[in-house]
Amino acid sequence: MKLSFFLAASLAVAACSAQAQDRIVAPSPSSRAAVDLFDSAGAAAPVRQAPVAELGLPLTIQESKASFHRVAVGGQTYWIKGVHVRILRGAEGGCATQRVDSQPTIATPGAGQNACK
Amino acid sequence: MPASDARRRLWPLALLGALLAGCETMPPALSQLPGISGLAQKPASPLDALPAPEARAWPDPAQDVVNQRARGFGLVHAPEAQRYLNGLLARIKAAALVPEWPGEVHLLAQSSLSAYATAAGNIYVSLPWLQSVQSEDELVALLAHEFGHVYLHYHSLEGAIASADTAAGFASLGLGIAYKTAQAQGWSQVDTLQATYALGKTLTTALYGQSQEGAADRFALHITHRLGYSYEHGPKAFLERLGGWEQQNEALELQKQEALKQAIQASALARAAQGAPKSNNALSTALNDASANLQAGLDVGMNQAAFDLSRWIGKFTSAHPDTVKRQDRLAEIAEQYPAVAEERAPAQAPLQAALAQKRTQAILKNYQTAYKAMEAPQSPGAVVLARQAASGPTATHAVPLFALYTAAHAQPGAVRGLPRDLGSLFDANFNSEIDRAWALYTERSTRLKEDGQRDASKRVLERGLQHFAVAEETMPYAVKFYGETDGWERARQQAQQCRQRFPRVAERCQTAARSPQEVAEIDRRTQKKASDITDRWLKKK
Repeated sequence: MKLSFFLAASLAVAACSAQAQDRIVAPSPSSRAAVDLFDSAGAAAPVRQAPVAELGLPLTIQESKASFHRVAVGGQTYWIKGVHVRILRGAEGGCATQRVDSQPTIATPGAGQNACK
Repeated sequence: MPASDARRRLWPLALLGALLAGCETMPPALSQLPGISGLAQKPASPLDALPAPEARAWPDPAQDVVNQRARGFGLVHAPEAQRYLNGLLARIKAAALVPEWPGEVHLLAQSSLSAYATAAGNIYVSLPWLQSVQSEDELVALLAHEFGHVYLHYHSLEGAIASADTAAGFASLGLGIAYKTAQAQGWSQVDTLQATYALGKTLTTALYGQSQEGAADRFALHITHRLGYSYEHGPKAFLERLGGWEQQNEALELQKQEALKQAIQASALARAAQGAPKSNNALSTALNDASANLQAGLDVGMNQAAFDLSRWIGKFTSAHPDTVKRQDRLAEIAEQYPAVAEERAPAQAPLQAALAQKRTQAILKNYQTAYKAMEAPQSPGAVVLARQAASGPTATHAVPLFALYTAAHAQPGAVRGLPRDLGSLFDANFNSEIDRAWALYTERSTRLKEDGQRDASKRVLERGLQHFAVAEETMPYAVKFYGETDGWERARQQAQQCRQRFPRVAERCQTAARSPQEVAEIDRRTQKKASDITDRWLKKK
């Protein structure tokens, strides 16, 4: 293994910028009471509906295909439609330059809050 | 807990509630701003035609770019990546029927997920966004959101802030007093009043900002749909990524807070132990220990209360509404108008091709390496990594050079082959017109000044000012620098010129022109005033 690769890997572990694995954390919109469960990606009709409480959130996404995500619910494998759930997605960002960064003013609207506080 | 203590802790909440209730009546100047009365207020179909944009005078986009280069580590010169991004922006403008509008996409050198737009029509996106998005759909959603701010003329807010100033300052004074009384120790009165002035200003403008974010999200939904991109992989994924980023940092903040709590607890225990009478009596020792533990617990509790309060205030005063609420609003629109959420395959190939371009790939890799070295400059190998980062296409870029400078400073033994004067590493950046970053000039001149090399320090700063003459961001630093090196009379003259040339940073220039004696006198007066007001308040209660 190259030294630089090893060093990069070691630092990546120490750094705060590790990208988390995407997972399903909630229904979408939050007011949705039940989520359709399908037996295959792209299936026309759900095999059943599961109340949100029954899903056991958060759910690890095992595979994604055609806007469907494969998950395990109650020990069974199902596919869930991506638009029916909220996914927590990883990001490659970190706060390394925070000390020098200047924050946008109110007149320079950004895509979100400054997360590096 | 004594009743008076409980009351003191509840005041901030009560006051904040009153302030927030007051915010429902926005200053007239704010309620009449474009976007508030139209798209921002009534839910509209994302498939409807966009409202016609308002006529405007465009600030000079080139000057805007110079100004942004003077902020933080400035911009990243990555021509192929920028060409790709500008191609996407051109399609967004065409879809919004304003293809002739000025403005380009530029890459920020920041390590965080950051993006913003300016009144000149330029959009600034940090490199980690490019590495985080999973498809072109998501990238276009981000750019369309930013362009939405330009289209909806969000920047009108800038003019309106002035008229909201007085009321906000008044309200924040009350909050400052309340906040101060909630803290047994910590911030001084001066800090509290200054910070809450800014907070009050934010409270007044937050509602406008929040409604504009919602409008920009809907704008992005409209544009991405019109361009054939997917809702799920576009606007939805973009907001989910933002949510993930915020949560990632929230967790980091909680870790830091926990460490702080433990440090406070240890310090309180040590203080109590020092103050306790020395005794060999077992009972007395046990009582002292119990008392010390109790005091430590109280200190931590107070600290935690202040932390929670500031987080709570932050939620209400942020110009960006809660990201989950933004996601829900879009999801509800998608439910209401199923056509907008129709299944579409994400466009991944064009994004992958753009990121695989040789120079772009090297730039992204080198920045990622530089960020890692900067996050842990004392880690074994940080200098090696930073050296790699400051090579190839990024040999003259500010962030990789700063990473090398920082890591080499942190590990003096590991600097073989580097110049003895590490600050001279920045010369590569100073000599590259396209990569120059103001932050490196300030770092270099500050260090030289601290080392007693006044003339050399001045030369560096003046060289920087030659390149950034039109950048307002440089002015406050320059005013202070000349005050410290040439006297405060010169600083005051410069502050006056700054006021005429750059009204937006006039206040910062004026503050920078204060001599240490003037700063001490202002602090003394402010502290006395704050103390008088607090005393009056507490007596009334």
